Amino acid sequence: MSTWQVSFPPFYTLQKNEETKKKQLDAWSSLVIEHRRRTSASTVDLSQIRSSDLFTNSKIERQASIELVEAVFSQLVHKGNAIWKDKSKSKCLLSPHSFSSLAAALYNWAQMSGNINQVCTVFELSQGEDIGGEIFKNVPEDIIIIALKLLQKERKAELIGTDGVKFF
Amino acid sequence: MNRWCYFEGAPDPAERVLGQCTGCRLYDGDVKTNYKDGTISVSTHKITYHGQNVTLFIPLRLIISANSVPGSWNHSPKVELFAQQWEQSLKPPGPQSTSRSNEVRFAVAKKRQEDFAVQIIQRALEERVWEKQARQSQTIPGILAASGKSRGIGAVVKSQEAKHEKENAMTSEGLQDLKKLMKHADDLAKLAQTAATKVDGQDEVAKLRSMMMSLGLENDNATGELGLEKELAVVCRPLIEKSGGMMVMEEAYCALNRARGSELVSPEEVYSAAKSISKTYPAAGLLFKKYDSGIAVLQDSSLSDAAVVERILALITEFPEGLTAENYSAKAGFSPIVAKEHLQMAELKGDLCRDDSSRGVKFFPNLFQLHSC
Repeated sequence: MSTWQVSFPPFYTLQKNEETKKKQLDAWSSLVIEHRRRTSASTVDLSQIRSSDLFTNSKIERQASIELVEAVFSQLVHKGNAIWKDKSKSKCLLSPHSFSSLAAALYNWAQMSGNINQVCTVFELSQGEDIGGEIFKNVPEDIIIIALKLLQKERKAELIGTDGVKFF
Repeated sequence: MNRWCYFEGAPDPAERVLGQCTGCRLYDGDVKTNYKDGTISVSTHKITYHGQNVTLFIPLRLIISANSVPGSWNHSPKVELFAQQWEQSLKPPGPQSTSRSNEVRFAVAKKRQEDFAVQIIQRALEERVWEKQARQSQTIPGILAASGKSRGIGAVVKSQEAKHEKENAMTSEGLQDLKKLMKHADDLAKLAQTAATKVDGQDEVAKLRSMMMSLGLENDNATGELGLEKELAVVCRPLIEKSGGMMVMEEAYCALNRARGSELVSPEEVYSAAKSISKTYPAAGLLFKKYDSGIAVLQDSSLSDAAVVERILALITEFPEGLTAENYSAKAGFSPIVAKEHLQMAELKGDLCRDDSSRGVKFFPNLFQLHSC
């Protein structure tokens, strides 16, 4: 992904033109996800992340405005990569992959590995040795649970207690 | 500006300073002079400017009237004095022998100072302390004349006396005319005051209208609609040329009425003439345009939005750190309000994007659109 935007001062100002804003937010979303995949923090505090390297470029002396940061994460929530943790939208849970792709990958794995009608723990889904190259490997449990909840809605799984899940 | 002369002598013993204003700048007509940051001092005998290592003065006897001009967002408050020319034989050397205007103008530093200065000057003009001095000093040469010498010092003194008497007679006559003029100005001022107090509370335009009515002038547009379009074209065309090709409607309204002087037209009439001018008077080559923000302009019809954007994109290459409305206004010649509208219009069209930082708002070419990846 090209990063020319990072050195472009207007990138740090929430654009007023709708089309321009969309392109801007798309670029930011990609940057945030890439950043998320490199780190492992899943809970994001918006005002904290604003001061990080991600949203600041000291070389051009620009920092994303709080409106821009909020708009970026709102878009990530909309795209299904994050969910708000509080009503005031100051914190969110950010996933390295969209929750729906995690859900699909989980169910696919359950089918391939003969785990339909079996109970698994969320722990083994995240940390299990036999998980292999799945996208949900090493993903924090709270994020996996959200993906499982999506499967639950589709009646493809049922959460059991705080740590178990049964795939159908 | 040619009324000011270098002051080299000593103040009159009976002279009293009545008031002072610091931070003043002298103007030559509408043009700023380098005589800035000076102190204007009003005494019973004269008005002095002291600054930039000089002291200039104008004797009060040359001043006919004084009025204040309140400041606006880009003009400092000013005092305007209407002053006679110096008597040729009496004029000391001064910085300028010609003047752009018959009015002596200076800007004051703080709001209300212009009113303060005018009040002091007017009071000094009423008291006419310097006149009493002039009359008294006439008796002194008389004592010397009594010695009766026709040669040497006596003769010199006698001829000096004669010269003095002649000059005093002249100034007295001048003063009589002045007195009449001032009385006339006084009457007009009083009339304007009553009219003003009557209409206080109404808006600016209604105020103006009522004042004009009370002075016996009609406010109806007797020239007919097309006449107004033609006037608008004639008055606004040179101003439009000077400001990049367009001017805001408020300026057009002011310019039109300023040109008229009397029989002023209302903003609604000017607005409506401007709106129809491209159809009713196409020869003028003018177009009315209203921006999304509500700002309305009168512009040259060749200046389409596309032409404006093209110009901006060409200009923006000279500003790699971003183009501000001020830069654009200065470079393209548009007024700051129009400049801001243009940039916002270009942003709305997707040709520009904005950078809003602690440095203010700057515009860049919309690279987001160009790099569609």
